[in-house]
Amino acid sequence: MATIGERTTAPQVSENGGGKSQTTGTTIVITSGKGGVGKTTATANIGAGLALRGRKVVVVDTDIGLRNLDVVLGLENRIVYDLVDVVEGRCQIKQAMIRDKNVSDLYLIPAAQTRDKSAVNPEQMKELCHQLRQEFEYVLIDCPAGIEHGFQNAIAAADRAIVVTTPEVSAIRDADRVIGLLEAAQIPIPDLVINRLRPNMVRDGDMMDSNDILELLSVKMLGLVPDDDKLIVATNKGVPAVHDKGSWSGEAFRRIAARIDGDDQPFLQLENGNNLMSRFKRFIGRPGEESRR
Amino acid sequence: MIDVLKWALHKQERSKESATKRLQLILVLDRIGLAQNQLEAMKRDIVEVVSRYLVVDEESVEMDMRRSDKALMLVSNMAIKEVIRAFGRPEPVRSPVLDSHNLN
Repeated sequence: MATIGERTTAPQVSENGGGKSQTTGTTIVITSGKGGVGKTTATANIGAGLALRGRKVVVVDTDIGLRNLDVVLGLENRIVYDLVDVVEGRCQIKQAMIRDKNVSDLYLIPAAQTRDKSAVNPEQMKELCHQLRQEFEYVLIDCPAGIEHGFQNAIAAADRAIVVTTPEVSAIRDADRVIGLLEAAQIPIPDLVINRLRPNMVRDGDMMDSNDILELLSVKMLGLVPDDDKLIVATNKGVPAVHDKGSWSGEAFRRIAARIDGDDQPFLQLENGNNLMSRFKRFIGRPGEESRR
Repeated sequence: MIDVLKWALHKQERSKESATKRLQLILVLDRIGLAQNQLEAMKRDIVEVVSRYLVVDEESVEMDMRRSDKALMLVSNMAIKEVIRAFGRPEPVRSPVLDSHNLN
């Protein structure tokens, strides 16, 4: 029996993946509770990152009514069918899958824009993911903000979960709530992505660092993503930052994708003290060929 | 020199400390489903009980819940103004049992 106020350890095998024994792929839900912390950006980058490693990946946007994953991937003008068309039987799954333009073996199933979250139910999501798992190594589910119907749909078929947060009080509180709900749904303890970390503020003691956050949430870290202007540029262009060799955030997401894929890469050193050696390390650790601005 | 160091160290203790401190309490209360006002009510009740024995400086009362490795801890600090001495040595009261014994 766990102590009050402490998390119990969820079973390592999900009970939710109906008929999972016949399947091959892993379904991962990317969630956060709070909106605007970078779930969709994370989904796009992790999906593209895994595809760049040669994995077959499909990303599913479950934010019905507020779809955005298509825009972040730059695929908004290729949508014919969407998630609701699939679950309501108006098209085959394959017809709704849009092939990514930057990397092969990455596909998107967009959300419907003119419907609401009640257009899909958890059973339908389980069935869809069950079928997608036959063909893809990774099925990534982009979860809507909030903890209502859309959240329940998104986590219904998840084998594991990634919680995205930022180093802010409100985002961390919501992340904690979501972690509790995932636990209640018998999904293994999620991994945490800390997004929009600002190394300067951490060094000045004006931003919580990764240790503070991991201790508060009692979870393991999957990745630490710096706040990066290039991420905004990437979204403007509809080309995820993982494709930009000179982007810090892109590098962070490439490493996250590697870790998900079982390749245990070191974390970016974003929180070291501001001494000469750490500056030098940061300098030589810079990804790609581009020089500093 | 020490003052300069102190100042430098103090400067390090910035807003992140209040963020983590506040979150520690918020998350514990969220997890056990206790609202902040219930904690306030409990604080008032505890102060009331303690006040029967000690004079408590009500301004000073701090109440906090935090998780240690093994247990959930309720930590309360309060400044004591004075001890109510009379309480420890009450007026001798006649025991009804003894009285009846003596009477017999």
